Amino acid sequence: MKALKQFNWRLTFILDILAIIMLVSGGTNLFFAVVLTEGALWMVRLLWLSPAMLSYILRRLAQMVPIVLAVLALGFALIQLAPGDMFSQMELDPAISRDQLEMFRRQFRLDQPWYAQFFQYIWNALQGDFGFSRTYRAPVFAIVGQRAWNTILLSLTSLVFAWVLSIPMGVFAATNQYNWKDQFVSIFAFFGLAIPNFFLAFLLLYLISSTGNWLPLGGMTSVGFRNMTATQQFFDVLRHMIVPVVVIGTSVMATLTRVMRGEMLKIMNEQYVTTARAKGQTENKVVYMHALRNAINPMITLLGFQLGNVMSGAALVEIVVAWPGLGSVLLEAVLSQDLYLVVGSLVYGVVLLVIGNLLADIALALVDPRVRIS
Amino acid sequence: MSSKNETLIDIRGLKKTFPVKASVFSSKSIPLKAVDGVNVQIRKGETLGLVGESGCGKTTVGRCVLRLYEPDRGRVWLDPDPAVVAEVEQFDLEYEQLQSQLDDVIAGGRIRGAGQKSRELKNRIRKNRNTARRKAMQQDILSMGPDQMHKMRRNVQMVFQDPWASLNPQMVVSDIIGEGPYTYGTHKGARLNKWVMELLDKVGLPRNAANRYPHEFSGGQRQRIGIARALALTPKLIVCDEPVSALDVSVQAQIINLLISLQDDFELAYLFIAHDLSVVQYISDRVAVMYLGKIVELGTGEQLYNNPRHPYTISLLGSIPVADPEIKTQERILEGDVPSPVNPPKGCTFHPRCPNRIDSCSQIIPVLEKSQDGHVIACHNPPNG
Amino acid sequence: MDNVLEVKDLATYFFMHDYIIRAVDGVDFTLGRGETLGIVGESGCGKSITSMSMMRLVPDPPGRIISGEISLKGRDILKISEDEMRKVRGNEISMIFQEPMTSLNPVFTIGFQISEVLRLHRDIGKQDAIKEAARLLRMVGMSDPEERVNEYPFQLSGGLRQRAMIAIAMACEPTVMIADEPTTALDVTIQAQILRLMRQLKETKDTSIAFITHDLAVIASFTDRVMVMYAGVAVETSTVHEIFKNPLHPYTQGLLGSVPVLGDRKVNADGSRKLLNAIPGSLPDARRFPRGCRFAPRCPKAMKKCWEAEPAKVEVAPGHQVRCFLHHDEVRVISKRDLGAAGKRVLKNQQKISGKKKGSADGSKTDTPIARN
Repeated sequence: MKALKQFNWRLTFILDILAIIMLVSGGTNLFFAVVLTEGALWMVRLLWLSPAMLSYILRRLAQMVPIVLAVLALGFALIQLAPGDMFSQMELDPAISRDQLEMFRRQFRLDQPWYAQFFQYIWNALQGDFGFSRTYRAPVFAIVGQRAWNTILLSLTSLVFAWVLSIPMGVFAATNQYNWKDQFVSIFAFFGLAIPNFFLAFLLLYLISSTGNWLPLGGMTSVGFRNMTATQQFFDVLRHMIVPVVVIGTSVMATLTRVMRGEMLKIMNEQYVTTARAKGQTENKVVYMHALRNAINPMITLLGFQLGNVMSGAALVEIVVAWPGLGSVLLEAVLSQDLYLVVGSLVYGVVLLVIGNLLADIALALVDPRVRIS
Repeated sequence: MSSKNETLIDIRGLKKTFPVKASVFSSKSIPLKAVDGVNVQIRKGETLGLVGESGCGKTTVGRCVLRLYEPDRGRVWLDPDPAVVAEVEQFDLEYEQLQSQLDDVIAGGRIRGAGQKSRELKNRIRKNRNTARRKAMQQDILSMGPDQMHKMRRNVQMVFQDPWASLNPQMVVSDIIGEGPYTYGTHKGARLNKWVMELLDKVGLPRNAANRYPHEFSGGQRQRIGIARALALTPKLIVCDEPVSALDVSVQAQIINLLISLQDDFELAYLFIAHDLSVVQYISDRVAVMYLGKIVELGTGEQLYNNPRHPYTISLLGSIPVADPEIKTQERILEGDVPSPVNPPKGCTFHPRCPNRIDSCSQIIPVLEKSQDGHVIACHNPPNG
Repeated sequence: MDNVLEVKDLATYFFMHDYIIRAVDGVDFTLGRGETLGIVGESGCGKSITSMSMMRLVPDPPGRIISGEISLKGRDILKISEDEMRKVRGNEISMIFQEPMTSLNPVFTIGFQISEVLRLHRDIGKQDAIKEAARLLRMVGMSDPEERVNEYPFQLSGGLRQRAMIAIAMACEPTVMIADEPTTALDVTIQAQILRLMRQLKETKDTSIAFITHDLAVIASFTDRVMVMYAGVAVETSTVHEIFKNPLHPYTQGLLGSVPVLGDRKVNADGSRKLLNAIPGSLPDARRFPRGCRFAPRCPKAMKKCWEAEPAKVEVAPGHQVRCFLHHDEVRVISKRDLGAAGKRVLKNQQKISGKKKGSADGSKTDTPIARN
């Protein structure tokens, strides 16, 4: 135990880096393996560093269960309320006999009373099986799984993009309060807030297409994607991501910049900032070390909410730039009344959101000693 | 005319705990004993000072009297009838006995007949509580129902510490002051207006203040508005929670003078809560010193200053710098901090910092004992005999 | 006693949109080696801005030191560059503040925050600085300093935090320490501990202290000399004994009468309740001070002259200066102050609001009409 204590736990981050390398080189196939490894790794770290936090996380995960169940119930109610079932359309198809349909229905237990169906639905859903998509003629899980990963990739990249830009912009605006530099950043932020995402996406696409198509206009991969090397694939996806990331990122950045500016202004008035100056510290260190470190905390709390924003924002943009994510699937599914697919996508979205919030809370705990040590 | 010795408020066995979270990640909460068994009386027309360091529970006592906090245990008798008090006291004693019997039964585990016995006891406790509550309802603030509370609030009012946060910024001064009389119907129409003007005169504000908003006034003037608001229903008791500590020295003196002169005009009793012993001692007839949720010493201002007997009061007096450069003696400086009320020391809560402690201090909780001159202390080994 | 700090005609104004707050308007004082000067006054009298001006930490904009001289051991620190000033802060002049809860950065350890100042001004390594921090914590009376260096501010009580602040302020053994209401937020028993500690440190290190407070009792027990401030100016300066035994300015007299003294008799001879000698009225608006003496509207002894001209600060007895016509006849001559671009901007906004097209006859050259209405 003592050897454990002396060991610098930060060294375990090497394992995380390895995991990310695996993910990048191995591609999406290894995604779930990597997620599981990371999850296990953090559990061990927490057990070791802060058992209280581990129990907190487990409790939070347990609290997720009723939320997910409620979403499932809602989804199920939607399906039940809609007239007919997923085989109703096939009844018009003369090629399919009534016996065959009955067989299908028995297979999917549609002949049973609603409560039996509900428990069956939950049981299946818990195993990741959200039913069968009529339009794709494939299990919902198979469709949504890949799409969800694409959406996560897009959302997280947008968030990182927004964060990396909004923090320095917020600090810049705060330290130049009320002069033209601050005004400029504010105007930029309000522009980002005001302009609708899809419109900005169209605008960018128009600009790119009218200046010589120097960026791909849609999709996630180029035509010859399968024949590329891993590095080429990586950069290909990256090129495709630029437009949607800029579009989604801009709207998030606007909010974050305003929040960051406000927080910085508040913190710069705190007594400990004056203390730092009274020590003879340079202004740069006062701003970037003493003030910024404190202003970041509320931003991390926001991260959880932003994830929801970003994902719903992504849904629209995905449709415009033909990004194969949850958003475009959801739209298609709604248009074609493919209810199992709709519910499946919704549940995926909700689960991701809840986990995102939890991760933000944990991150806050890690950076704030007041939360970490108690 | 009520005589000065009649009891107006009788606080008995007041207890209040607040739940605090053990840590950010824990779902458990630990009880913080803010007030731990306070017994004190306020007589008609007198000022009782309540003094102590931050976290000693003085504000909580004040708020419990008005039921701004709901206390866990205890009674706050308003204008008590001794017969009723004695009767309810009997019920409370019986309740204690029943409760301890019940605890014994529960501790005894699952022996034969235990279930029935505990059911029986619980039943008796419920009956006991209901009867006591019914009997105490008219006079005990803590047992009152909504109707009695409404009546009670006419008689007990509060002046708050922060003159900036305690007045509604959306209301003009005449509405702030007149709201109480209007609601209770004591003054109506032109008479209400006249009453508000009268109150403004009394607290030393110009009459044209009536149609202005609180933000147009300075801190001292706002505190005057707060006092006029509290006076509007001609209460018998005003709880003053640190009414001058947010004010400047020169303004502080104006407000203290105002409170003193109003007391004679309105036959008021004050529960004056403050951390500044010189202010409390100046304004109060009797002063109670609190430490970690308990009263440790109670006496007249003169007794407390000239002949402090509890070691804590002695050190408190010794710590206060005197506004006279000739006197530079600070014999007794207390070491350490006030312990956390979440986990107070055993026995006398003051014993870890006490220069006079003896063995029994860490074991037995001292109770308040009255000496012949009415000076009350809770100490096993008081230094001055 | 040789003076380590001399402040002459210090004026710090705040240039708001259409008015100027004359927070500090001509303050002079000296501070001898090892001496403690009490600066006393009510909120808004300019005592805290005086201390921030001494550190050159007045937030600019809107604040600016517009005139004066602050010589620290013969060097005017208002004239040196910002880089040089940084070497003065924390090293030659240090500061402690009122709120121990907020004056330490919540996300850094105590050890880090003490070692930070050491590493800024001393040639010292990281590990040694932490060791030195532990030594300083022991010096300010903290137990287990080796463990305390790894703790965060929220783990300490108010009294311990203030001790940590003192450790930061004393780390480089400064010539002057400014203590801005260091005990106001503390309980009396903790206040007594902190004052005792400061007294001990002052005696062993021979530090000069500028002690800012509103609490006259603390002034009486802790300081050697006292400067009483009112509405941006010093109204009386003398030794602590003189101030308490023989106060000359009516404001000082009023202030002393406003404080209830422990053990005071509360009943007059005729049986009525005794009242405090409160000063009537409230502090003047810093935007428009009265034309004459700033205390005149509240002064029980105000004469016609007091409303017309501002008295100068004159030494009426050895070491006893007072700004009052009751004791001399000298009128204050305010040196012409250059308000710069900010002053012109304020004047312009003022004219815009008042609807005047051109500067009024008396408003174009001097600063007085701007603030004095």
